Amino acid sequence: MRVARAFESEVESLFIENAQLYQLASYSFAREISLSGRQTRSLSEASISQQLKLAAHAVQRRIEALARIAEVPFSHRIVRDEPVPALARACSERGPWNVVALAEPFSPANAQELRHLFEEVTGTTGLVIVGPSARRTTGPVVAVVEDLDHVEPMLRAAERLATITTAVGRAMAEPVTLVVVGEDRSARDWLEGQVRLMIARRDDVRLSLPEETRGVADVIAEEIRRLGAGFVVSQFGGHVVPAGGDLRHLAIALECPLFLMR
Amino acid sequence: MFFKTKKEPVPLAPEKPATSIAAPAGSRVTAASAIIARPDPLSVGELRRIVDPATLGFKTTDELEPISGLIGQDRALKAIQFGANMKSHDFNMFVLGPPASGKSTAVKAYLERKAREAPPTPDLVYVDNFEAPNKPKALTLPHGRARAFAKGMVAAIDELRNTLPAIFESDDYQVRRRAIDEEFRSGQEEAFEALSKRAQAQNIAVLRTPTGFAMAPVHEGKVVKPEVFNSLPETMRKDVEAKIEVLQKELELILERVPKSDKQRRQRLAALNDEVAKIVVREALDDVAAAFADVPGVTDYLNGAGADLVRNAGLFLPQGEEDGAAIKPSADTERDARFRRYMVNVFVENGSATGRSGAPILEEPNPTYANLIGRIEHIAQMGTLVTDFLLMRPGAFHKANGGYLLLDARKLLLSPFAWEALKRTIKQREIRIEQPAEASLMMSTQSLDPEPVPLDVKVILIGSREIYYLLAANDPDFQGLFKVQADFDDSIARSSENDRAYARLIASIVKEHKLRPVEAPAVARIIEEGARLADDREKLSIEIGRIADIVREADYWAGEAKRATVTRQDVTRAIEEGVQRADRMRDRAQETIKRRIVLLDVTGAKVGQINGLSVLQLGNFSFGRPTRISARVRLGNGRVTDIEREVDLGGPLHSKGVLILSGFLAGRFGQDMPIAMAASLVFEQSYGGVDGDSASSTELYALLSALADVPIRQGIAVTGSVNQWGEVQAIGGVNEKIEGFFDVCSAREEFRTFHRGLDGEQGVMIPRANVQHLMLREDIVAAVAEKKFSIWAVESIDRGIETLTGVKAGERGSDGRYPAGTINRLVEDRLRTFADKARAFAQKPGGDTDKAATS
Repeated sequence: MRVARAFESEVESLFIENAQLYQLASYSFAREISLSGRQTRSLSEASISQQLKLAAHAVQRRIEALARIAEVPFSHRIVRDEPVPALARACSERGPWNVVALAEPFSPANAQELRHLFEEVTGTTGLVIVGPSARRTTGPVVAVVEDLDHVEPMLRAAERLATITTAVGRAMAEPVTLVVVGEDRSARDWLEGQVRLMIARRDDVRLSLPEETRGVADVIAEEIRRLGAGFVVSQFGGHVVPAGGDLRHLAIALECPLFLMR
Repeated sequence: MFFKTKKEPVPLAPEKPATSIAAPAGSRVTAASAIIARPDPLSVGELRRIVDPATLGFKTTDELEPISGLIGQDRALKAIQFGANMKSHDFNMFVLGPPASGKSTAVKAYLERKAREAPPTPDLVYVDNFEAPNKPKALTLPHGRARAFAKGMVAAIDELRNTLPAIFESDDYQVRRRAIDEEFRSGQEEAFEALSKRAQAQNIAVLRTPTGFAMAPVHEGKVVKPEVFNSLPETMRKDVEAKIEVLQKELELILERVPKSDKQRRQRLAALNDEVAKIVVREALDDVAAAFADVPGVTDYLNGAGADLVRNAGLFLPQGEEDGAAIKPSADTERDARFRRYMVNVFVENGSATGRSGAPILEEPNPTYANLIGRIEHIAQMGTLVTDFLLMRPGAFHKANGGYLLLDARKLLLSPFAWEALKRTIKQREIRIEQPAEASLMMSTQSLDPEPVPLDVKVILIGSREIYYLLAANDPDFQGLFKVQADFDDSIARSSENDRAYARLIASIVKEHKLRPVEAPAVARIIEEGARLADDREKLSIEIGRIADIVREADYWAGEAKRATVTRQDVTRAIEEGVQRADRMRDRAQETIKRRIVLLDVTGAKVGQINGLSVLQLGNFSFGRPTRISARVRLGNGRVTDIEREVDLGGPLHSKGVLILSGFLAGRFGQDMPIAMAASLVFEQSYGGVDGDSASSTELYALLSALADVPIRQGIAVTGSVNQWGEVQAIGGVNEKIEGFFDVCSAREEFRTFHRGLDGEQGVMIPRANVQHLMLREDIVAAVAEKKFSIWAVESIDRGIETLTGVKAGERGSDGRYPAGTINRLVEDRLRTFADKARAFAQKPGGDTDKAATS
């Protein structure tokens, strides 16, 4: 909701009833294991349907309430399909400027799924995800810059997001920090120079150049934590969030939401 | 039927200037023939004891050394000394005496000297009991160190507000924490991932349902349709089902391990937090621990506080990330609700910090329950009243602990629960802050049970004698807890030595209030007023407050007259102005007599009628007022009817006086005949209550006059009580009574309506025993000197009736009879006549004296 407000957008809630669950329920041996692992019960189409219906209504009520508070236009849809195709279809219907916010936190094990999402769901600008350590929504917005093309859109997105990460009572908006990353030292120095030219005379943007003593992903994850970021903007498929790569360091260090740009 | 005496009124004694009774016009010759000369009145010297200023030995009080302490109160001062020195908890003091007699001043003056010599008393603080928060702990610290202890704790918490967040943000901590998180998280995730991979390898998918997980056979990433699956050979189907069952079991185990693993993770994190916080907390408390290492109890408290701080280190970390949801922490540690439990409630401070030294002396002006033993305040929070140890307030017992507590007994007794709380505290020898039961019943609130403090206080109650005797009679605990009684006298004996001490007392009042010096004649006048206030010319009142008022008012009048010193004239004016300010009611009473609204004769003579005197007390002012008393007699059964009593206007003492005079009549005249008389006595035009026996002799004179049919001189007012043998006894307020009658008589001189004023025939007859109390106004003394007014003193009814009637009372002769023509003979004859008639009447069929008297 806060992101939608920042970007002056509307929110569409898409509840996907996984169609495979209905097929699963048709098996006579199908059993559901509770989240605690202590209970198992047989499944039926009716029970799955009922569960999904209740869950959908609960989600709708919750998001509707948040939208009302955030004064963001809201709509809700329930589709029975497989998750990624359903999301791809919904995004393609609404043009390419969608931002998808995933309800469940990502884990290092989801790296492939993230890649799959980016590949399949083309009608998006990016994804907003949270990690398992998320606990903060205020603080500076940190944009991880890995190439020149992304600097400007990242800066614009970061400026928008800074309006929602400023703690109540602060007179000034949170600053934007650009963390510059390069493949090697010379690439980073070149990129740094370009970025400095772009942000010249801008007091509200800071630059951070962490020393890459360890692997890039590790160093950047630590830098994000050190800066106490309220929101991180990064590009998907770079050094920090490699497509299908190891997300372990990021998952540990990321204490705030992450806007993954295409 | 009405029986009327045929006896004629007795003739009055022949007129004799100044010493005989003038016969009123129209009086008839009677059987009375034993005329007696009027007794001599009291001399001027007996009416007022004056002080010769020359004997005082100074010109103004400037020459005098002000007196320190009290005069003539040796007994009370010794008692105070004894009480203050006795160490036992039950030797508390009750200082009793009249108001404004300097009791409090004297007690405080002595105690201050003694308290200065005592070692300073320790400070008292209350701190949180971390094990049982509703039972705050009391800590005793050496005097003057409580504030430093409280500041030390604030400084420690201030330090922790910086150091604890810093240590938890440090790289060292974060790395260790993440390592733990990672250890557990990766363990679970890896197990789940491994399971997923194994399942995937067997073409089985783990699917997420809204409330759990489920497994199904898949082909190319999609769940196999049931109809396709069912078309597979049975062995294959069974194989898939078996695989799924195995995987499900594994998944169950993995999921079951999650809470346990999470618990272990939390424990590891808690241990890490404790380890990190402990170091910082110990460092923060080091300074205060070192500074108070010598104080018993402080180390234990700091250990408890340290453990609690480690447990609650989270309080010091930034709270709530949601915008607007977090309550912004206060910059002031003392005001921050999160840290209240680590603050120190400085209950009592002693020593140089307070500018006091030695033992405390506390006078509690408002000894309510809460002000005595302390109270627990509450604050409203979300509609509930809550409290903590910082809302505890000390009582007088806490503040006076180790010293002396002075309390006004009357105020104490008037405060609900206060007296019982005081006794309980002294008995238990500890100060326990409790809510009064009744108060706590009114509302259900969170409350505290603070640790009691050992009591070491000497309690000094100050009050009147009435309160002392009331408590002694009605409270069985009182004598046991207040074993020392310091009894202050109302007055001191009059002597030249005490007169001089009195002058020094006046000098100390002058000094204390920074007044003009008082001249010797003025001091003499104040001493005379002191005797008047004592109601005894042989005594001097030591009502210091009243004397100080006179001196201060005299100083005011001296200032008005632009005099540098206070003269006798100023003192007299101060006294007169004081009377004038208060005498509106006296003026009204005298006006009713002047205007003949209240009937009162001050000339001539009347049978069965006499002027009695009463005293009215209105606030601090009292004045005398004459009242006509009349008696009527008739045939009856010996009963004297007190009309006041019959209508419930007479008090018990008045009724007693009437019964005594009945006893006198029966004893003197009823030896050989029944008293077949009925009499009625009344205070004419009296519409309020009458009490006291000071009019009993007056009533007896009226009765004797009525029986003897001999008139009484109306110019003489009478006061005095009588016993059954006819002896006249002392009464109170003799000066006011004489002055009251004098004012009425002299006022009539002003009006000249019914009377020509003071003509030498007016005066007052008082008991001989009251002569020593006479301190009459100077104008009355002057009138007596000019023989315009007289004061007679008598010791018996016989002498009194002679003075009033001019007829001899008479004594029984050897024949057992009184001489003819005497009052007693006339009375006896009248009573005999009544007896004869009653006997004759009773012999008639249906005769009844009472019926006869009322028919």
